[in-house]
Amino acid sequence: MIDLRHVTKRFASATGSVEALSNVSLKIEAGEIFGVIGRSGAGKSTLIRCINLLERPTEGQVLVDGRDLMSLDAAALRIARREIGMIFQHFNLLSSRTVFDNVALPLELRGEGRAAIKAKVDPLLELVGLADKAGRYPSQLSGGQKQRVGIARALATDPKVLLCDEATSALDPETTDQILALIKDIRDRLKLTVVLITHEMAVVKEIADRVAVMEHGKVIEQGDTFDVFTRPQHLTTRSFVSDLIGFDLPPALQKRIADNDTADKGGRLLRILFTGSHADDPVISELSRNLNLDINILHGRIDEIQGRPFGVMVVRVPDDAAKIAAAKTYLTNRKLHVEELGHVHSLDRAAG
Amino acid sequence: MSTALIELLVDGFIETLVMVGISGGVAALFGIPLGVILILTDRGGILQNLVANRVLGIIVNATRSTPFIILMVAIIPFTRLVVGTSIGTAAAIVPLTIAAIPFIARLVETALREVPAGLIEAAQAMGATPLQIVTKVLLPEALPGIVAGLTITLVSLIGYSAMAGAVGGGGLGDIGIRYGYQRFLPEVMLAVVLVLIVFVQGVQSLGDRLVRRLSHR
Repeated sequence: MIDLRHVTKRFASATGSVEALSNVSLKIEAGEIFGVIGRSGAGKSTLIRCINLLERPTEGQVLVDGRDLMSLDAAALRIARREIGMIFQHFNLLSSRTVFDNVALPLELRGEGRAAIKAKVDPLLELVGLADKAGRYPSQLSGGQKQRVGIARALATDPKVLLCDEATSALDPETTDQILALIKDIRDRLKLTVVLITHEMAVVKEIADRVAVMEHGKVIEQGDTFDVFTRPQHLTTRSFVSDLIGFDLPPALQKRIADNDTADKGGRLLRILFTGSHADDPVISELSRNLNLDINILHGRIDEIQGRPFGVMVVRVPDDAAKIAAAKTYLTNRKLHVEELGHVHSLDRAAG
Repeated sequence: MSTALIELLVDGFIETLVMVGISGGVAALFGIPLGVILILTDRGGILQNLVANRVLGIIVNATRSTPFIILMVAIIPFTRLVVGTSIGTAAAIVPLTIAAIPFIARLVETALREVPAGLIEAAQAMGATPLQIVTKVLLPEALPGIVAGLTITLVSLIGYSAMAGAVGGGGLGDIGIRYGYQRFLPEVMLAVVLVLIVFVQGVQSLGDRLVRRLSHR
């Protein structure tokens, strides 16, 4: 549905030129929710603006629904943009217009009559749960309600694509969940393609089917959300996901290990990743019983990503090479990933 | 107060009302579009054109920095061309209008600058034309600010119109100068000043009320 080919965007600056995007290529399939994550300044905001040409790439091609947007003249581009809805971090609602009139704006711009507008806006307000707020002004609404208006407005022209520019970054966690649930629901009902950029990994984990990680204007990693979360390749990605899924040990535990507290007791640390069909198995209990192994669980987290269970557990076992080898074999046979954290120094690095 | 004085004041008030009303209205007709053009052509504007922007900016500043009393005299040939005479109320309206246009343009420009850039971006993402962005987004969103600016302009015009007496423009200011000052009638001067104070208060509070009604921020 969206095909970015070798997109580069340079901005003129006081010191010459800054490359906000360098040679970014992305393919986003119809009907999927595609997340783009990166820290501020990574170029994700420029990237999403290149999809509807609010920013025109310096080089490269932008294809939406098979059409090369960069080849269109101003009038054709305006019509093409009606196929691409957009919502914003700060909602960008007109303060001078009521909720109803805000949602009606894209239809007015298209030259629709009063009756046609009403026939379109009323069901949209129903869809986003604001039918009773039609006559209110944006200043009378909460943040979550404002974003619902933004979503209704973006959907007014029946777009095929919905661009979400940090759409939940100004909202509290509970409202964020509600808005994400609404976006997901809309995608399912209207078969939309959704692109969302965010700096919050929790947002990606919640709804993205696939994700791209950006840094310094480049896509450094992309793939299925589950894969990127459970097997992050790049250090930046790892630091993004670590908070959420417990790759990092809690600071107090790190300190205890660094102080050789555990080493004194002659233990070894293992990190076990629970994924796939055996993620639900009673592994720890079986290990303990079958291998007669004392297992001390130091840290762990069990979660669900894209509806699939996923867990990380750090355990301490007695320093017995034979037993540890047997335990590793046992775990590997169940397709669980196991990693020995070994010495204190390597643990530090793994946790970084 | 004698009936003669009251009649005098009523006539003067009406003349002032006519001068300020017509010049304010005509100046708004030219000043608002000029303010819009200044915003659109500025750096980062949707119709960026720095040359046009600078040229307009210089003309606006030049007009604004000319003292009104000098402007009034300097454009007498133009005034004669427009209204056929260089003295009287009609003749005073021309320089008042010329002086108010750049004033309004700058106030409108400031009001439009207050409209968040995100709104323009949102309109562009919806496929709005530049004209639609002006009429559907910029002007409605800036309307409270524009009305506040027009109120300030009207109050200033009331002050300027007093100087129109210098070209025989009539109005309250003229009465104050000729009766109050030159014929040394302090009670006339006092009456004129009082009427002007009430007039200005009225205009200002009307404007304020309108701004409050229009603003939904």
